[in-house]
Amino acid sequence: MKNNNNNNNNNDDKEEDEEHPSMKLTDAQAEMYDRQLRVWGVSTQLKIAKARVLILGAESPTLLECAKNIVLAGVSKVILCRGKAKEEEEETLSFLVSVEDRAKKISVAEAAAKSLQEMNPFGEVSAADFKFEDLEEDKDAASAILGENYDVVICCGRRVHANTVKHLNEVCRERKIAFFLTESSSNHGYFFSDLGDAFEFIERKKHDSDNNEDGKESALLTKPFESFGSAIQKTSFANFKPKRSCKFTPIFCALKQLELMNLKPTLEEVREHISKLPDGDKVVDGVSLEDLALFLDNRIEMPAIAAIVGGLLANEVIKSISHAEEPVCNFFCFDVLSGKGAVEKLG
Amino acid sequence: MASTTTTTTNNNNETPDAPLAPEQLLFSSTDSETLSKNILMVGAGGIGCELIKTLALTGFRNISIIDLDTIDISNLNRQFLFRKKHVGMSKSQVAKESVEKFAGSKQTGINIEAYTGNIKEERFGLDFFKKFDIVLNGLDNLEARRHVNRLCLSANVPLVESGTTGYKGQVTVHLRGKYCSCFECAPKPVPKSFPICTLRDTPSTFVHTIVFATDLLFPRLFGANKEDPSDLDEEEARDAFTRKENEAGTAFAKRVFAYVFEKKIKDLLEREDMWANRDKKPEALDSETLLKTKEERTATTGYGDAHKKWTMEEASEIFVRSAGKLFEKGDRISEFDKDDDDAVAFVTATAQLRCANYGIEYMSRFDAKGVAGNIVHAVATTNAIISGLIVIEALKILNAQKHLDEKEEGEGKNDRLIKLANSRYTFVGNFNAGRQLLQPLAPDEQNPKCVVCANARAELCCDISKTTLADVISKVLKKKLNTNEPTVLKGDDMLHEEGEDLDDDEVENYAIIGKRTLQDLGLESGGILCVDDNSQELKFDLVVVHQNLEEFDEDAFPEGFELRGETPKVAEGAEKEKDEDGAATDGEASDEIEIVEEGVEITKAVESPRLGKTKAIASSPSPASKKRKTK
Ligand SMILES: [Zn+2]
Repeated sequence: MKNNNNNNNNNDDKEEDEEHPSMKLTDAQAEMYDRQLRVWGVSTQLKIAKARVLILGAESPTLLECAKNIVLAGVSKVILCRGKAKEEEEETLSFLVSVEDRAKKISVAEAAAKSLQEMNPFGEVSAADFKFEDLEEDKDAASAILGENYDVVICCGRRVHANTVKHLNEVCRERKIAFFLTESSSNHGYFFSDLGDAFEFIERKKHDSDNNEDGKESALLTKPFESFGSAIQKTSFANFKPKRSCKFTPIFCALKQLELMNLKPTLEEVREHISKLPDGDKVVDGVSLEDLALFLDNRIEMPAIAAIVGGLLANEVIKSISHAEEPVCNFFCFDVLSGKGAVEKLG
Repeated sequence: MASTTTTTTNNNNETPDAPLAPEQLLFSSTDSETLSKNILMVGAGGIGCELIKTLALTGFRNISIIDLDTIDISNLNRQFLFRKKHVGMSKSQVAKESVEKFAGSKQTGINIEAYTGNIKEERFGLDFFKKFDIVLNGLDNLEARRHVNRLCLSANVPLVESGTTGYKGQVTVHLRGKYCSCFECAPKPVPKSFPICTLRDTPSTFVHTIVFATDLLFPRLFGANKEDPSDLDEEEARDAFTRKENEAGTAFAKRVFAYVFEKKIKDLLEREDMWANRDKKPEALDSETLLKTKEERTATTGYGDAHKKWTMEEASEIFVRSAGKLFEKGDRISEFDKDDDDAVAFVTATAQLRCANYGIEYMSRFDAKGVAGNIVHAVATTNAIISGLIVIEALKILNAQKHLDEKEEGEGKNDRLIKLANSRYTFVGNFNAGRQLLQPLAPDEQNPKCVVCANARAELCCDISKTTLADVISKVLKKKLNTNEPTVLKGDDMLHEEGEDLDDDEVENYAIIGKRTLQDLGLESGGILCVDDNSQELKFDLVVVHQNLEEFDEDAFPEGFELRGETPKVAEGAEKEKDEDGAATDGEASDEIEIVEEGVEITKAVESPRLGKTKAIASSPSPASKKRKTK
């Protein structure tokens, strides 16, 4: 990975961050973070302040929303990687790119990094380049590219091949990095998460705000996650319950299964291909051609959906760092038409 | 927005109540006409910053935004349009400028009108509201939200309402109609009130001890009206709470300490009837020992790590030291201020010492400040999610409006609109409730008992021989029913009017009438007062029912009256409407989810009418009214 900002990757990544019991928030941080400290407490804030997050495909509005949220939360370091050349970037409005920067043709990732840095001076935000295509065939390339030590990797799912996602996820698994995939369109948005084989978290018993019994009862629980590749491949379409699921979830899984098989059907062929998958007829039965067209119509990301999915995803990123709430395991899909935002277990 | 080539005609149009097809609600319909609609945003805070950003990105071009607030450092963790250099500046102005930075200015793209002011001001009256096609609320206090609701009903403008606290939030859609509810159709959580005697003699929660500190002890010692009679002034207390001539502040504080935490508790213990039916008795502190230990540590400054609980010795020393500091400030203090570190330290120490008296678990200074200052828990993510949901509901309403018959009028039209738009109430953050991060529900129907939108009567049950008209105006009409400038009539007799255009002698005359009891004014049980508030275009009848003061349960009705009328509707047919996809919208869940409000105050003491005190011990100002006072 080529880093545009050259002073941010040498020293602090190497040192093993031992828990410093004496580590405290500065007064300035305590002042600025006051309202969120009341939501997640000091120990979570300190964990967030040490976290390093890599964002791949930073031109996605959903990822920019998510980046804003985690920068505000106070992560130590965020690197925004653009997933394509500047020439390929679309002319969509972004709240992190000023009119001047857009006129100067500065890449979204670079302009956004600058805006985010202004938003929270306590963290460090930088931009870098990244080429998804290189990873499609080659897991070693993914391994090489994730040379640094991150706590979280968030990958854009839009126009990124399922094999690339699979490779990136596998490398993250090996290095115990939390992995997220996200995408939204004009009618739906989703995210997938893999927090490893045994993600530990503390579940605090729900309490009435009347009784000040904060965090009195809590238990350490473990949740098993699966990698993208295996979750997608193991998904059985027989198990989807239309009432609970988002109608796009089976379509998503079916399309990704086809992609992992290196099939590239056209829109006309998609239904036929899906019906050939095990229990694929169940997907096809519940899905009209219009639904499919809607799903595949990802020309535009609706800003409202990006805000919703980017917000919910940022909550999950914080959970993966804090280990202090039950995380979503392992797939969330929002369908703007029904208004439903359901959590589902893939795999 | 997406331009699709779909030209499908929607058969749903033939049945008036069926929702429109998706492309008519969201996609191809979101054209230049929709995006040039006039939008009013009330609030430029946590939700407001996210909302104006999402509106601008969606392509909306005509946005007016109102906020009375200025930027505070503690906003910066989520109100991302603001920077440190903006602290102290107008929120709406800075929000406008920050959005223009990425979305262009009036000439090149977006036309944002920023107003710094209170939504209750006259210039934002009915004519102002009528200029807009939709109103989007991102407010942090109930008072203003209820006010906006009333103006939207009068102006017949759709309202998208929202609120967040912590990870929870909700978005709802309101119109006047049989099949849609107004914001006030559902009962709202009111600030909790505690009887004075609970706070003073028998506290049982940490909140009780905090309210004792902020609403009783603090005003008694440091408040602007500390000379006035207080509920703390029992026989010998008057002495204990009076500073002697030339007495050092810290010496006085030690006397107060010895009285409140030791002497007073010992006196209470002697009243055996009081403890006969209680599990545990309080324990008096040994003030001599506690106050002695701190002598050696007089050099201490500051109040230590806000997150660490103090020892008893520390709390005792801090009680005295912070009180000393507060006495030095003298007249510069009018009431408890959560941003005054000495005041927070004093309140925390008082609460901790009271907790020790009564065997209650106490909290750190950070947590005590949260309770005392009623500080909202807030993160950026929830506000972002809510902003997205608001924009989706707004788009659906604005696009559906195009399909309404122009000539049609009245409530039937609104009923049709909310159905065509497929409007929803969405709740965020109840992850455990059915594994839904976002829970869409069909909108509520009108509550036939709603005083605000259904022409229902409100019913006031009180002691008409003791309740004065002024009590009704301040405690019922303003505090509970949220009127702004109510006019009160009994038959044709004008009993009360207010506003700037009154003559001095009129004001004086109404003040005299106000002091009379309802009985003296000739009202009998079952009698009716007509209430009319021009500033909100609100008019309703208040039926007064008599009940002797002694018959009120003090815990349930510490203020000595009961207001009925805004009762929640009975769950008629627990089965909720099916939504477009035929999925049940979890009818049973709608009752479980509590509407959360950003910034509804948690606690306040109330004046106990039984004590016969003339002065209300604690009004319960919402954050907004507090700000107005200081303005
Ligand atoms: Zn109503």
